[in-house]
Amino acid sequence: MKENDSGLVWSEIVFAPEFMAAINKLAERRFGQGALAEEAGTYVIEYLSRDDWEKCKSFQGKSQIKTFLYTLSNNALEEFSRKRFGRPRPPTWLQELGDMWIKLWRSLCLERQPLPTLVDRYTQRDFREPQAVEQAARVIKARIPTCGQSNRDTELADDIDRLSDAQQAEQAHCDSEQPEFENPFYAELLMMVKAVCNEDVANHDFHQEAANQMDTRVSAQQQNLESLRTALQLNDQEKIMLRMIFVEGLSKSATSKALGLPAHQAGRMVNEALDRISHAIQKCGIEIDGLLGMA
Amino acid sequence: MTKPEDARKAAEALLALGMTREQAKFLPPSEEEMAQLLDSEAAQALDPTRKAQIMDAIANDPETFSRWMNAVDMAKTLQVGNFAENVSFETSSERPTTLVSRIGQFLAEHVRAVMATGGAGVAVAFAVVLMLPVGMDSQVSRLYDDFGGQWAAQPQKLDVIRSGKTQQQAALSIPDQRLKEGVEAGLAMLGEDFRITQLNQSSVTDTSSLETELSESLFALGQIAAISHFKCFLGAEKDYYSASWALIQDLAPAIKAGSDETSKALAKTLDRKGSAETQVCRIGKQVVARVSR
Repeated sequence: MKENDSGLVWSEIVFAPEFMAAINKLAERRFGQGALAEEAGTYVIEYLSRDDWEKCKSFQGKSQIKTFLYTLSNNALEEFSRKRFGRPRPPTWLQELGDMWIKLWRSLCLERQPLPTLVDRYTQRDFREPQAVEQAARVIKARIPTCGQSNRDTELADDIDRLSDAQQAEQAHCDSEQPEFENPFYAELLMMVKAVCNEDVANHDFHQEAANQMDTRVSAQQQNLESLRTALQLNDQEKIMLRMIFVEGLSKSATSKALGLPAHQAGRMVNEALDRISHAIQKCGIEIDGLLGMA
Repeated sequence: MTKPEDARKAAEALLALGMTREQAKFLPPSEEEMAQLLDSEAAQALDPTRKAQIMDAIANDPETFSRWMNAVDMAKTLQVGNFAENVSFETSSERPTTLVSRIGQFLAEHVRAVMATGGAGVAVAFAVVLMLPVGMDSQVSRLYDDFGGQWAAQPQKLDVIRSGKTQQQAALSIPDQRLKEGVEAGLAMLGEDFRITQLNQSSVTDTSSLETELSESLFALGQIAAISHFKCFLGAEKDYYSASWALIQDLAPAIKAGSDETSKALAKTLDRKGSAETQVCRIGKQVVARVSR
């Protein structure tokens, strides 16, 4: 048995039934029940014990030991998925939308898991609204028509893994059929906002014609948008909360909990931030419904 | 809220997030710091400067935010850290080792924090959280959570200003200082919109000489007094008063056993008759008055 300087016997902690059960739970949540989850669980153990428990030994006693190990295990599952299914890069717009979107893209387009299963997984215990997941899936499928139709065999994952990042980025770029914008920053941003908020989003929303329309709207409002950019002031905590709630679809109470705040606090702070944002948008003379074509 | 309003709010939030995106170099957290952040008690030991750097990375660096969301998802799935039923989660055989090392680590952080801020206040505030009795902190938290729901509708930046002295304030006694720490912790839980402007600003007294049970009880009473101060002023539900009074009664034996002037005065008030509302508001008023002298 190997100990580190703090006297912790990592093999005993990791192989304890309670910890093994937690690993299986994480693996099943990520890959569904079955052989793949079992394989992933085994990979986690291999990952943690690698190089004489090197990763575990980086523990300095600042956090709960189990929370630390679970965080490492989560990373191991991510690494497993990349090795198993390759690691093509998601398109830039999708990366910017956040982690839930990237995970959903991976599950939907690479792992080809059925949508109902994914909705169940991402909405367990009211963690997210089912509509948020369905909407995200709809947007991904609309923007990436080849999603889930890849002919890549998962057994070739190792080959895919050997592809250079540049090749993968190029592949992702082709898959996403990115329209070209004359005003890349605002037009792309507004297109993304529209895609996330408009339930009637369809394929044509992402064609060049739509991009041109968005460019025209941006040009008309360019000055207002510039002044809005200056007027908006959000602190880090507000940004994190807004992103967790409006991008990732977490409930306000789950957001509060994650940040170690009283249950109502995230809601109150977010409402205040939204009021400020709304006020700034109005003050800068921006008609958001018209700008996004949501009216 | 209607659906179009939801869509509008989401659109405005996303637009604001996109526009305030920053391109900068970040100092992303290690795996252990990420785990630390998921546990509000362990997070207290994070150096404030480092914590700000981590928050900056989560808020502005997509990759760090992605790691944060992965970690939140994990904590929620396994009910650990802030998502644990009982936040004092660690009950297995490794507890002694990690607790010792955590305290050691805490002290190291603590000394650095004191040096960085040039005073003992930060150190005391950290220690207070670590010393809270198991169960009592979660009871107090529950009180805030259960009865804080309607607070968003209450006036912002509410200041309850006492007609107090403006001259140099006298130093508080050790038990009063401990009460004040509780009040401050309670105000911190309420958020920055709720302030008591006349809190005693005299130099901080070390409260470590207090007997542990009394110290914990005074601290918890201070927290309850802070919320009650506003609840009584603005009106509250009957359930709030009965829950608060039950909690105060649990604290009463330790306070009544105290021989100092603060404990005696509080014990005298606790013995007075009245409804739960009267009792809670009376004791809340007394505590706030004591720490505002």
